[in-house]
Amino acid sequence: MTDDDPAQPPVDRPDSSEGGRELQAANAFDLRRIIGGLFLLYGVVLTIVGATDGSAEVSKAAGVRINLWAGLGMLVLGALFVAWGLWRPLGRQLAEAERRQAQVSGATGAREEPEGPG
Amino acid sequence: MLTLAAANVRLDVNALDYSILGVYFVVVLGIGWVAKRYVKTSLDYFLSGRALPAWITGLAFVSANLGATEILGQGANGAQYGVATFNYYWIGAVPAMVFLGLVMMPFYYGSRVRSVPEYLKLRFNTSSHVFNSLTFALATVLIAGVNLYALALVLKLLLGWPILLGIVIAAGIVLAYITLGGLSSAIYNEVLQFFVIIAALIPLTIVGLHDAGGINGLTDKVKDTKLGEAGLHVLQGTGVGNVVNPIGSTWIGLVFGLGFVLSFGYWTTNFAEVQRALSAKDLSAGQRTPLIGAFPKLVIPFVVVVPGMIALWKIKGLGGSDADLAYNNAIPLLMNQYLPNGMLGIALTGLMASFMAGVAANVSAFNTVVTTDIIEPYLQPERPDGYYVTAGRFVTVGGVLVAIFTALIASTYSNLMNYLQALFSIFNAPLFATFIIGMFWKRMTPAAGLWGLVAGTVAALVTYVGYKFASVFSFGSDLDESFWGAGAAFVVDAIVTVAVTAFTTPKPVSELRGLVWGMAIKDPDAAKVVRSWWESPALLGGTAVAIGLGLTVVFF
Repeated sequence: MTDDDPAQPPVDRPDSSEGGRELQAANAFDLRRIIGGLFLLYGVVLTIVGATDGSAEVSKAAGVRINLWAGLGMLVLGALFVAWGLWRPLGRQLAEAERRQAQVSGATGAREEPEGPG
Repeated sequence: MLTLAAANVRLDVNALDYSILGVYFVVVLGIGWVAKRYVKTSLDYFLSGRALPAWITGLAFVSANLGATEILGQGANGAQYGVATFNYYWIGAVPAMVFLGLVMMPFYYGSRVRSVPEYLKLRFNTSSHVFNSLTFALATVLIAGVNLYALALVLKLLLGWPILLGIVIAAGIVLAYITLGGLSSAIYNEVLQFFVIIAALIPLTIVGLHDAGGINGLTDKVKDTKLGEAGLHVLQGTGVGNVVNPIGSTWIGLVFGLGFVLSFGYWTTNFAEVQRALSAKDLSAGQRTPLIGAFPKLVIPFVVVVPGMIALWKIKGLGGSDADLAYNNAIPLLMNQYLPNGMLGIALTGLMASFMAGVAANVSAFNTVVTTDIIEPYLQPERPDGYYVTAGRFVTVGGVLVAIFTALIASTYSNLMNYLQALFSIFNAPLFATFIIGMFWKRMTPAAGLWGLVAGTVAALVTYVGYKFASVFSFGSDLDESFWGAGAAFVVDAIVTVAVTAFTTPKPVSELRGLVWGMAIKDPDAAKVVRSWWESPALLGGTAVAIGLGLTVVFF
């Protein structure tokens, strides 16, 4: 979950430190990491609670150890989101999108920046 | 505490459950705080800089609709009407979402408007723009009030918090994160809310179904309740002259009123929804926003309506004379029945998330329309951009304060879902008629845009008042009234539109580029971006509609 992923190729870092910081901030603000982090936390808590639930809790839920199962499910969901966020960091995606945009604009000549009407 | 009756409404929450809820609030406010650093222009604040990927806007699109009234209201409908409630999803939502994505988004996104009313300004004239901006602002604060009030009701019921405390805390949190981060913050939180709500509802459904003995066990049990066999079919028993389906409407009312006018009106012209699609990063992502939202929408009833039906069997006396056992409480009652501490905290968090999603969607649409459609063009034109961001923040505060008062209006209605449907029939149904005709008929004149809207709004209002207060009209149920009120608004709007067009001058065709069918603006860059086959809007939309139809046949 570090923003300073050493596996990231250096080409993804723009030269100015300003841009680098922006990309790092984008990674920290990546919604996939936020969702993943929250569900990992909830998953750990519920799994522990579920594993220690007594018979009263289990019989309330019609015999299902629901805290444990829900906790495990949340761990999986959280892990998937974190993995997705780390696999394709937002900062890198933004940089790639900008490069593509630049190439396309270059090919079509002067590209009018879309603005609101009026 | 051990002496509580089985169907006690007060949740047995403990410190663990409150901690789970507390962590969630911290994350929600944290998102607002971080989003603030990204807001540099008014476009950032009101449309997230048009930079969001389709999966985020798509989930926010469906989450903006997953408010309190959706969860509690459709759970209540599940208990009251049974399987027929599925009509709200497969007939009453998915086709309209697909239509928005495939047919209407090219105009909305292609014309670069920032709001739904702004489209009217370009296509017609400023008077229709002003009329719609004002009615829309009114509708959103009324709807936000419904959500706030529903939230306060549930907090009182489940936790024993005083109504006013509940309203103020929820309003305060929504206010904080939208004022700080604008639409990005609202949308990011909506996506998070989507997962929390689902995480609360899936375990509840699993436990309930397990207890009932699976799907077959549940159908047997529902047959023995007051719903009986009729409560197990979506459309059977809705024949004209022989309505035995609990929903109390004919298939004509369902398909035309709900499936066509109400649902298309809501999903395609309600800016609280369309705003999510407008904030997508490009036209393709904008088109895919409602289409990606359609897939969760297909399966959400299985974790909302089904628990309602389980509650009908499990909670003895549900829907009876005891106010605590009202249908609206079906899902909270079931949560208390089945969920131990821990999961109960997740369930409480899911409910809170759902309420805040409903309020936030309307508040963020309200501040955009008031700022970009009323303040900027008419009241304070030509100000620097930063002025409008500040104005948007103040409007947000004002909107939330007004919503607290409209919450008090909502408190005079016993069935919130019916109140909401009536609001939609008055505000959205005529707008849809004007949009659909204006988009496909180049000849439609600016004057027709205004007068069609006014006439349609009045028609729905007359139907509503004539039924509710003057008893001039009678319908099968409040819901049936909203189907027919919406139908009347649509038809009257269409007739007036055609009549006025015949006598007034249309806009020159040169001014309609990008606004009407056959004159969409083609983005030369878009064709160069190579997309995967699974990103095709037509394929996504077609699949969603086909699954909806298939499910309707299976549950016929």
